[in-house]
Amino acid sequence: MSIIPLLKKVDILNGLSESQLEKVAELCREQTYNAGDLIFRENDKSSEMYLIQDGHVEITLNVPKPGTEKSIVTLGKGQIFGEMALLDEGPRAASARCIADGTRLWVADRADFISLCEKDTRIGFIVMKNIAADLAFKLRLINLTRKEPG
Amino acid sequence: MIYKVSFVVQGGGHPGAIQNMEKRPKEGDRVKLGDKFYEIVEVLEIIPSRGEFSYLHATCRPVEK
Repeated sequence: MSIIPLLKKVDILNGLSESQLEKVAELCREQTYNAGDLIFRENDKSSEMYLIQDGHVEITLNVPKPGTEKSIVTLGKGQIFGEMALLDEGPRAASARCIADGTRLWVADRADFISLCEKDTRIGFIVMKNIAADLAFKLRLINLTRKEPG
Repeated sequence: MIYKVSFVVQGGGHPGAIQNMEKRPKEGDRVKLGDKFYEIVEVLEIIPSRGEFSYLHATCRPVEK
């Protein structure tokens, strides 16, 4: 199965040519999960980004009451998560759990991705510019959330 | 066009979320964030579109039971 049509829907890859997307596709490996499978846990060390081919993934946050999680959003086909791992290898900001049997994900490892960006600096520039824009968008969300009366 | 939407929820009961949508959201639409439904009360385009991607901010309120 070609991953290219899906990669075209990923905003951090916006602006890459078909041949550049093929280089990104070569980095991706497929993984299948079933409902209830934990993909990663909040505060885990991160090194991979995920793209949903089919199925659904729930993103959850720990809340102060021990052992409880709050569901934040459900992601579906064409959506990425864990992309901050490409930048900093910091702890996961949230947990990701599969909620549909047979959910297929494409996984890209940070080290491979950075290596590609260094080898092909045009890809590196476009992707890092997009990631910077994505981070700015997320910062605006945080700012707007803070302004919202609680 | 793919709409990348950041959802801000009034009342502080939800930390907000970002979701890709194939249809542009509008006031009055209902969206599911996590396990709850919210109603969109405002949609803003704060930054310009890039390529096939449009970036929107939507303010929501919890749907009353």
